[in-house]
Amino acid sequence: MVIKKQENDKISVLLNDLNSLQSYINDIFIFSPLPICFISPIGVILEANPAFIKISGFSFNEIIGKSIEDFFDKREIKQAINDTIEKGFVEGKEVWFSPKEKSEMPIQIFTRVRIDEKREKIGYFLSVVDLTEIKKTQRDARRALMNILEDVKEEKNKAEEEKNKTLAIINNFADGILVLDKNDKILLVNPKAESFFEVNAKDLIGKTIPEFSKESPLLPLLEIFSKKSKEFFREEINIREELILEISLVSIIREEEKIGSLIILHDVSREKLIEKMKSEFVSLTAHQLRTPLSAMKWSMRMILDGELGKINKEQRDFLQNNYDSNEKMIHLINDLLNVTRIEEGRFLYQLVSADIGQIIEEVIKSHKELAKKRKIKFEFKKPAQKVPKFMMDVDKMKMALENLIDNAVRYNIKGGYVKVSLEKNKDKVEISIKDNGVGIPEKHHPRIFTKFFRAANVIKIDTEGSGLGLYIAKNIIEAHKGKVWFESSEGKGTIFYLVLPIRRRA
Amino acid sequence: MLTKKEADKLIGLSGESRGMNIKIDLDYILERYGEKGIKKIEERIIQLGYPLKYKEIEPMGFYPVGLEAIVLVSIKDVFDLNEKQVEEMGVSVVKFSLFMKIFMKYLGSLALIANEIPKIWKEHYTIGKLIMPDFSDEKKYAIIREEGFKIHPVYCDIHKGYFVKVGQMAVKAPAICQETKCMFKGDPYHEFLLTW
Repeated sequence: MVIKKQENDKISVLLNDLNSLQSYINDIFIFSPLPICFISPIGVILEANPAFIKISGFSFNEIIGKSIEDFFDKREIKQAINDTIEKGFVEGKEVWFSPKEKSEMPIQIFTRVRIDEKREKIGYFLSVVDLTEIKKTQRDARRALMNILEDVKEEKNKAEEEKNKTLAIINNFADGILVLDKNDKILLVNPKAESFFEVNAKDLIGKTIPEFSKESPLLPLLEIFSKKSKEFFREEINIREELILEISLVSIIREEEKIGSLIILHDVSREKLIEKMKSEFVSLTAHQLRTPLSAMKWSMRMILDGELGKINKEQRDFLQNNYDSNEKMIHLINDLLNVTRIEEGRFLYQLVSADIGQIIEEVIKSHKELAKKRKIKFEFKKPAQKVPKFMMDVDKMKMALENLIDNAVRYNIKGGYVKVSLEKNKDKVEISIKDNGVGIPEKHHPRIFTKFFRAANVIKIDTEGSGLGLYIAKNIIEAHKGKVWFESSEGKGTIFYLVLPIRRRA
Repeated sequence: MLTKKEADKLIGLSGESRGMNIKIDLDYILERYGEKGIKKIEERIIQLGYPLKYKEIEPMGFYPVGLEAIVLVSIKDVFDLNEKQVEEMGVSVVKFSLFMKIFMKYLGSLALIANEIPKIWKEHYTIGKLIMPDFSDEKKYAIIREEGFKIHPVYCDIHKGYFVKVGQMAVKAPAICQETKCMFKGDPYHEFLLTW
């Protein structure tokens, strides 16, 4: 009786354990978030957990007893089942799953064969992982990547196109171009530059200009580079006898940072040739004109002086007018000849040691008559410190000062003044010529030293000026290594400043 | 409608049924009619004098086979199920049964099923037996026989449902089940013809 009770108690304990185990297995199966089903050896779904039911969209009743092939692509699932039977498992095979009332979804399947105690295959477990979101993310990422790649490709094509355009422009540019990087290494040489220097671009690329030897065709460029440290503009160099270039160096700036430099080589040979021919023509013409004009001058002078007989007043007046006009013509021709000489580089100086103060006084004296006529007061402020004699071309210096002082008198107002001052400052002399005349309009300031230029306000006063005086004066002063500049205000007057070095030797 | 007297008579029958058998019937009610459905059945059983709480059923435990019959008939009465609906219930409850899940491993062939089917019966009941005396894969039929199990006619319908579902699982095709012999009609046993 006791034994029977003990057996019953044991059975009761075992049944309780069995209940708990059943409940535990059931809970695991139900709460597993992974869709799982159990398939019979012939491919019938025998069991499915809630996660599988949810993903399939079918009810539990509909699923149980259904063939597994009804849920998948038949060919794919058959292959997976065969693999499971053969290998015992399938790991993460991607197949298409057909849920109820939904379009096919990509999933991964995992299978494990189920074997009983006799090692017989009694079916298999199958679990699925929904890849829809992953695939969507992959698709989106791929699409985004493709878009990026397309954008990059498009931008690359655009950049390529722009580069090709730029290269085409550079290669076909009428000017020679050299592109340097920020370390002054040559990056690009266009065909025109190659032809200017008679070099091959590939021999230059990657080198810096200072690297070229004295035998290099780029020597003229090297010379100008060594003289000019930063940018320069329209520097003229002779490459060969028939080739003159104007060279400019400009920085290439991007976002306030220098990323390189551009050397532009502009061929001015033709312009120079034309200019030379023009100068030669002017020179020849002027010479040809000056001879008869000089003859006319002396003939008229002799008649006016009565050396060829007595003339009445009317005849004298006519003749004097002709004489004055002839003088102006000779003066103009002389100016033209001087300009020609300047341009031809033949403005030769006869340098002698001379007293600049004396020259100024002579020029002032020669203008006293005109000043008196126009009631203009002349003032010459002599230097406090004695100015030594220095080397100069007296005639040319006189010509320069005459041009400046003549302008000060000629374009002055009646009763105005002209103040000339001379000062020594260390090894230089400083001359200023100040008037209270008509002044120079501000818009004309930049052109005042150019050839044949005359400001509009002076043309109204005097129609006969050649517009060459200041050009010649500037060239003379600069030929003496000096400088000339001015300050002017229209209607108030002008001051010209000259600075000349005191050179005791030629 | 089952009376108290009939219920008492059923309880008096010898033999036991596993708690699982009762539980899966109530699982079906819960799935189909919800908690309210369970409550209705529990109230009905109390009326019949055999209080049983769904949540207290021990699936592995042994209960009087008559109690299972009372629950089944109460379900039929409370929800006014006809024979076909009881058979459908039989189809559905198979999925809840742990014993069936254990048995499913034998669903690979009819021969295997024939061999194992008596064992699975014994998992469910302490009385009667279940055998598969004849079957043919080729002709697509199987004869299933229940012997010594004369409890209540409700079992004829619900077991038809079981066999339909199990048959479908075994042969991978929709199956039809007919009761060809019935102990309540004077036959010595219940016999079912399963075709597909």
